[in-house]
Amino acid sequence: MSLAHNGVLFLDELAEFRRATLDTLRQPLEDGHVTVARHRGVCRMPARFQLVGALNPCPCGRTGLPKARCACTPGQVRAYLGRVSGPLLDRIDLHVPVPAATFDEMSGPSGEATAVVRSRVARARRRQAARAEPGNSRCSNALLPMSRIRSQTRLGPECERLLRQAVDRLSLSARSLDRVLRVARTISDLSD
Amino acid sequence: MLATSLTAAVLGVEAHLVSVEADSAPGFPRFTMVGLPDSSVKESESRIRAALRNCGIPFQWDRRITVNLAPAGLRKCGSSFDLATALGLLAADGALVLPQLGRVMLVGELALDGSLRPVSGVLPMLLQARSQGLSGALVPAACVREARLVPGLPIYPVATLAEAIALLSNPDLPAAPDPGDVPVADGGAAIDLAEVRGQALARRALEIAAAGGHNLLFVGPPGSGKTMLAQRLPGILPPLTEAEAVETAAIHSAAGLPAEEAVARRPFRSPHHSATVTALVGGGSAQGRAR
Repeated sequence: MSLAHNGVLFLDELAEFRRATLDTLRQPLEDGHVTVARHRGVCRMPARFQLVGALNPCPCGRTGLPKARCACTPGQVRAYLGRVSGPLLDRIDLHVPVPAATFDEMSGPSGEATAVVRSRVARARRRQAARAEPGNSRCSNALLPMSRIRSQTRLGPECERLLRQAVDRLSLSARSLDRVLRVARTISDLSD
Repeated sequence: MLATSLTAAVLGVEAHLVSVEADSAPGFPRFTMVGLPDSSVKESESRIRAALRNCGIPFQWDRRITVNLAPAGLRKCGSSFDLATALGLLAADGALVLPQLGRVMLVGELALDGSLRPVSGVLPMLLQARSQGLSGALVPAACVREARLVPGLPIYPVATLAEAIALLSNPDLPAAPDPGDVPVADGGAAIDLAEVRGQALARRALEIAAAGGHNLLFVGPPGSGKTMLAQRLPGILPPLTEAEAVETAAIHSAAGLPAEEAVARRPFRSPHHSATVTALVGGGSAQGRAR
C-alpha cells in the first residue's frame, strides 16, 4: 500500500476482497500510514492515498443493465453487499452510480480531455492552498482537520435546513456530516 | 587495527546509518560478523574473499577478524553492506590508507570479480547520508540515477572495488559528477479522460474527488466504465510536488522498483482481490518491505 502513497489505490470488485484484507485499509485511511509488525519491533511506512473502489450492485452483475434481469435473491444481494463493511463505506466520501451506457452514449462524442479537467482541478487545489496554514503541504479538503472545515464553511439558513433534514431522514453519523461538508467545500472550490 | 566505514540499512522505507567496524588482530584465524546480520550479509565474507583475490588485492586472512555492524540491535538485511565491509577490512589490515573512509557512505554488492552490483533502497540511503551531513556517497554505477533526486550530496558512481579504493585514497574528495536534472513530471500522458464517453455524473464525481482528495466508490454493472474512470484519476490530479516526488521515489527505491519512473506521474496501484494482507501491506518473514 505504501507504493500508492501520494497516489491512488484502486480496488476493483470491492465485494470480492476478504474482510481481513479490507480491514487493513482502516489505518491508512485514518492516519496515513501502515504499521507492520516484525519479529523485532514494528515498522511504520507512509500510506496516504486516495481510495477508489468499484462495486457491482449484485453478484450476477445484471442489475442496472437495460434489458437483463438480475437473477439474485434479495438475500444474496444483501450478503454480497454486506461484504463491504459499514465503517469502510463510511470512510468513502463519494458513492457514485455508474449505469450501463446506451448505444448513443457509446458512439457519441468524446468527453472532455484530461488536460481540461486537470486545469480545473488545479484551480480548486490552489484555492484550498490559499486557505491553508502556511507551510502545510497537506491542505486538500479531505485532509483538513475537522475544526478547520467547520470554521472554513459558512452555511446559509437554506443549507442548514437541508442538512438538518438529511441528518434526520438519512440518519447521517457525525462522520458522514463532516464528509458532506468537505465535499460541499470542494464543489464550491470547483465552481467559477 | 580498527577501521570504521559507513553505510545504511533500510527498514521499511527509511534508512538508518550503519557503522561497519572492522578489526584485524593477531590470533587464531577466524572471521566473525556481528550486529544481527542476516544470511545474505553473512555471505559477504565469501564474496569479499573472492573479489579481493581476483582483483589481486592482498589481504591477511590468517588473523582474528571481527566485523561489527552497529547499531548492533538493528537487523541487517541484504547485500548492500559488501562495499563498506570490504573497504573497512582493507583499512583495518593496515596496508591501505583511506583518508576518506568514515566520511562517506558506501553502498554496493560485490561481484566475485570485484565489480559492484546495484542494490535496492539506494535513494533512502542517500537521503540519510545527506541528513547526517556526510561528505558524499559511493554507489554502484547502475544506481546513479537515484542520485538526481538528492541534490546537495556529492554522489560518486563506482563500477569496481578498485575504483572505490582509488577514490577514497585521495586526501580530498574530487568533485562529484553532475547527475543530471530531475525528470519533469508529465502528469501521465498515456491515457486520456476523453476516451470515456458519456457518464457525465461519474466524470463530475471523479473531478470532485480529484479536486478535494476525496475517496470514491463507483457502483455499476460490469463494463460500465468504472475501471476506465479510476485509471484516469491520476492524470487529472496535480503533479507531485518536489517533496512528494522524493518521498514517492524513496518508497519505490526501498521496494526495489525504479525510482525515476515513480516521479513521472502519481502512483496508481490496483491489487487483485485475491491479494493477501501481507501482499497488500508489506512485512512478511523478511525485512518489512513496502508494498
